[in-house]
Amino acid sequence: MKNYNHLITDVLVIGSGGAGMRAAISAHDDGANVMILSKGRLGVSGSTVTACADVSVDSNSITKLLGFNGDIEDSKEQFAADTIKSGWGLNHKELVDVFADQAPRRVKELIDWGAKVENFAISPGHTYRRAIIIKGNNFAHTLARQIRLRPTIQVLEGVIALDIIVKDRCATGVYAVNIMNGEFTTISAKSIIIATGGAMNVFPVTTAPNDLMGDGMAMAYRAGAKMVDMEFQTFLMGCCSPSSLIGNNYPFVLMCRAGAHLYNREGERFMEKWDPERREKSTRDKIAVASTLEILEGRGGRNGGVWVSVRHIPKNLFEYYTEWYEGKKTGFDEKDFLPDLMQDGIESMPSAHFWNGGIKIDTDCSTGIEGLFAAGECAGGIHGANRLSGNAMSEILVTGNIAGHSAARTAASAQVTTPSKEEEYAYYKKLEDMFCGNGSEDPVVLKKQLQKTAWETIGPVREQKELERAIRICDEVENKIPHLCCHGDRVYNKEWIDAMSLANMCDIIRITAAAAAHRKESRSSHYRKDYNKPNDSMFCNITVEKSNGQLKMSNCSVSTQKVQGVQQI
Amino acid sequence: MKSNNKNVNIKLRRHGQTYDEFEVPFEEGMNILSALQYIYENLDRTIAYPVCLCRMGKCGACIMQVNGKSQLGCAVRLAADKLYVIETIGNKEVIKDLITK
Ligand SMILES: Cc1cc2nc3c(=O)[nH]c(=O)nc-3n(C[C@H](O)[C@H](O)[C@H](O)COP(=O)(O)OP(=O)(O)OC[C@H]3O[C@@H](n4cnc5c(N)ncnc54)[C@H](O)[C@@H]3O)c2cc1C
Ligand code: FES
Repeated sequence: MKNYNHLITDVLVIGSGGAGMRAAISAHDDGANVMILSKGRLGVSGSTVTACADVSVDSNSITKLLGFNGDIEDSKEQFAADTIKSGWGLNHKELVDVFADQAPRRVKELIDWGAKVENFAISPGHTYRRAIIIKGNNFAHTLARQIRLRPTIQVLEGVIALDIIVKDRCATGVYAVNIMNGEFTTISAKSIIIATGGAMNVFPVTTAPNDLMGDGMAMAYRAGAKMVDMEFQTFLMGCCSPSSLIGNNYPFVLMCRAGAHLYNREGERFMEKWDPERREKSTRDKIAVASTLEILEGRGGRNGGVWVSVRHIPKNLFEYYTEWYEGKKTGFDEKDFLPDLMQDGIESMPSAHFWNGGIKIDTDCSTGIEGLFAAGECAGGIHGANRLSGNAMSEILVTGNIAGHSAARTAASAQVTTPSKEEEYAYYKKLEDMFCGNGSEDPVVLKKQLQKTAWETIGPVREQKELERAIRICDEVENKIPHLCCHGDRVYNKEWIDAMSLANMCDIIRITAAAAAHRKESRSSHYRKDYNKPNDSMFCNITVEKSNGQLKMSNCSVSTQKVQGVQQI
Repeated sequence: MKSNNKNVNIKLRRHGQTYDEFEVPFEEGMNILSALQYIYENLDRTIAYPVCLCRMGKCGACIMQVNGKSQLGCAVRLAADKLYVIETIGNKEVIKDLITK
């Protein structure tokens, strides 16, 4: 039997975006041995580094705790209330209270660590000026610096976690692969924090970086954890051409900041039908549904999109609007790849941007699986059906910190358990066999098939028969996984990496489609052509779990309880 | 927006040693990453370039040498019928193609 690499730690953090880094800091400071395992590089992978980024806390705290010019009329209660309103009431209320309460302290800490506040703004859906503008790369670099100041935190970059090892509903480690050399690595840990971000890349067009495939959510689901609110995704207008800009959110930015118009092929400003007052300033979910229907009904363009145009804006005024846009400073400027915007529109389509639901967590970020915690975008509950602008960046700090403390506490009294050699061999053998040459299935073709299916079925417009088709296709693709055929060796093999992500994609699309099929109504970003109104009887959370190998769904009444005496951390 | 019959030529350094040349159909507004993706999907599944990419100039993962100059691959707009020689930057140990330690 082969020898694999083995590593042991107290707390294992999977993912090195904002949530993962913040979690590692807290677990370390509580005295735990911490290891971070990350597909991408520390501080520069995941969505965190790309955020624009507003970081929201209540405006009263902006004045009183952070010492800037906020609005003291605001309160944590009002912030929590706005968050719940935006989430269509489906938020986990206790979590929202904890979030609203702790967000100011976490953001203050980040600023004390050197994060640069650029500005303040009032973002849509917020009653007060709560958006603290800190650029995503500065946010991420600040946390990465704190990790480096703690040299005992081990950072493994270029390592992909594949599955959680579970014994008697207790998480004991992960199976992983080091993509830099193709070696399998089993990591045993006393507790594990999943911080792998969203699953936007199950869609063909996304604003998010390529590494976000929903791996952590799929792993948690297979480990037995419950998923919640998985039918709610946020889409916003991104480019569908040229190939260099697919998913780039520049069209959305132009609509928000420069007053760009949205046209269909007939030259109609179709948002006038949907939201006559706000039109292109309407909510992201309405714009996503309207645009998708235009495209589906044949009023889109050659590249599958509708047009975002700034032609009505005088050239010298447009230059002023986009002055703030950082483009040129990093050497990357969307305009370098686009036609002259004073003449042409940008063909654009709703692009997957944010995963509102995720792994169901409690206020201590526990998942119901002993020793398994989740933080950041992969966790569900805080945002309900629709996240309020800027809440993701403050939420990852809050849940990251809580998960770090909880995992350290669990690790202090847990034992290390390692899988048997047979179990390990059986697990890795399936992945090695993807090269064996007997298979004929092409991982890239299957990946594209899944992405296309996701767009057609769990995209912004849904209906029963299409959702059922999604589940069928996921089952079919899953059956093909044992017959995959990858080429070359295991060192940094992209085709093999794609092959290994297929199981996760199947699980994510299936869970989303099942929850979306179950929600026979339209609510927020979940729009059903066949049930196009909200239905009060569906005012509940849908949870999905894997029970005896089968997908099991439950309706859960929405939590309304206020938290009493949550531990102050 | 495929422009008929035009190509770009990508000469990619393999394993820090030899070069392989690929012909990629030209499309207005394409960048180095779109060309690499085309090669990966259609011409050679074994080429290695980063899997974690923001595609918007923010993560730095796509830094590479393009025709002798250090650049973000996502920021380089390609011109039709031109040759682009692509390799890793600096003296870092090459793991495979565009991937360094
Ligand atoms: C373009 C864009 C702009 C945004 N702007 C804003 C904004 O202005 N305000 C706001 O509040 N929110 C914004 N968001 C959302 C916000 O950025 C994210 O929700 C947040 O950064 C998520 O942080 P995270 O730490 O949970 O995950 P991420 O930052 O996405 O990090 C995930 C990490 O997990 C790693 N990973 C994934 N799978 C594996 C695996 N199998 N094994 C090991 N590692 C793995 C990844 O490589 C990465 O390191 C924006 C998102 C995007 C895409
Ligand atoms: S892909 Fe992130 S900077 Fe180019």
